[in-house]
Amino acid sequence: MLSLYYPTGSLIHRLPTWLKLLVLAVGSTALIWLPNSYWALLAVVVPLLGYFLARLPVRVLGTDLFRLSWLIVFLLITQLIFNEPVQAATVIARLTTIILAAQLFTRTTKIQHLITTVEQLAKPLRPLGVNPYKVALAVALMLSALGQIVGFIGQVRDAQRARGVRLAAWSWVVPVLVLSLKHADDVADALVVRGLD
Amino acid sequence: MIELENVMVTVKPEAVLLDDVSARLEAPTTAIIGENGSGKSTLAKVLAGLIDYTGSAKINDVEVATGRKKLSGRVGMIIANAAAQVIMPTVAEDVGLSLRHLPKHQRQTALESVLEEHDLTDLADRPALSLSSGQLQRLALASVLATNPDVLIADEPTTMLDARYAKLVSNQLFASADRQLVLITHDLELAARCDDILWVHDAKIAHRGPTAIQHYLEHIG
Repeated sequence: MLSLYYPTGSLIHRLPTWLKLLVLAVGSTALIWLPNSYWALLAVVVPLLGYFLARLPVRVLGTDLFRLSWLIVFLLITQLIFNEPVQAATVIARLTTIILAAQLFTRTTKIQHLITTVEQLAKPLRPLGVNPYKVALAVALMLSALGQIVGFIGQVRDAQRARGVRLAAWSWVVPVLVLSLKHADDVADALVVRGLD
Repeated sequence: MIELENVMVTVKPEAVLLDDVSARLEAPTTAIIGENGSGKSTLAKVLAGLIDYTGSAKINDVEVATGRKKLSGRVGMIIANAAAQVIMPTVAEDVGLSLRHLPKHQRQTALESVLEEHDLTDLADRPALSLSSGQLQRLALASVLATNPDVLIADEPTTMLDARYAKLVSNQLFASADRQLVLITHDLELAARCDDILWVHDAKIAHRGPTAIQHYLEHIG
């Protein structure tokens, strides 16, 4: 399963999960009202400051920024085609800030705590027939699936290399889909046998 | 006790995975042996409620197909693909998920005890994705045994393990006298430790009892 948590015992790590979720939700919503301006780029400083306060190593920040860089480049190109540069800068500032803040959240929050919090938050929905535990479990499985799919991509590409075949760059898509479906089936079985279905 | 009566599993197009299987499994430990594709894992899936069947399959007088809720937590299974059985991000959290039935104040002690019993304490905070196949298999077993099931169905539980851990896991499988064990295995030494042995061949029980291994070996030459 995907595990991005990086323990340092900082103040941000120790904050209640619900508070971190609330700040993330309110902050992300507030960014919508950010006026179009190059000054909007300064918003990115906020999650970066969070990384610093969370005492996360520079290489962790580097990894997170690298993963994000492809998206930023893609957005920059498309935004510059369809929008004015100042609008493009604002859009990129908004998205980069939100994604980095979300990364900071996962780096500083144990999945178990997230699940417990989601379960608590879903409790008011019980009268509507919603099982809060199942909602929380679904979150866990979703995060698990992301990690597994990344693993499958590596597995399929390794298998292709091991056979010495040179295929198109997108040739891993179908095998990964098949592996993912098989895995989903296995996980469904596992939920039943562990009494979690 | 497990009772199977005329159990049939068929899949389209017209493949019979279990063909009219009837048996009464009363022994504390039962091994199911046979070649790949013979129907062993299908039988295990029937018992765990993972596959549709016709006929009757009862565990402790509860029909598996209709009594899944009653059997939930009472029947545990280790599936052959251990990686899929691990749900939570870290070793400790995955075992912890199986201990949710305990009061909160007891969970930490129980968790530490399970991790120690399965020699997983040093791996407690390791991401499950980073574990080897053998470590995943041990984690899957620990997580299932933590629920303390009345019946444990173990499908190839030692295939990925080195000699040391194969021995540890085997001993854990046979440790409880209160738990009924159904062991699907290619390891004939392990099968020989069971009180009852079923050789499944061509979707049927071909032979049963202490001589089943001998008949199986003669068959495969």
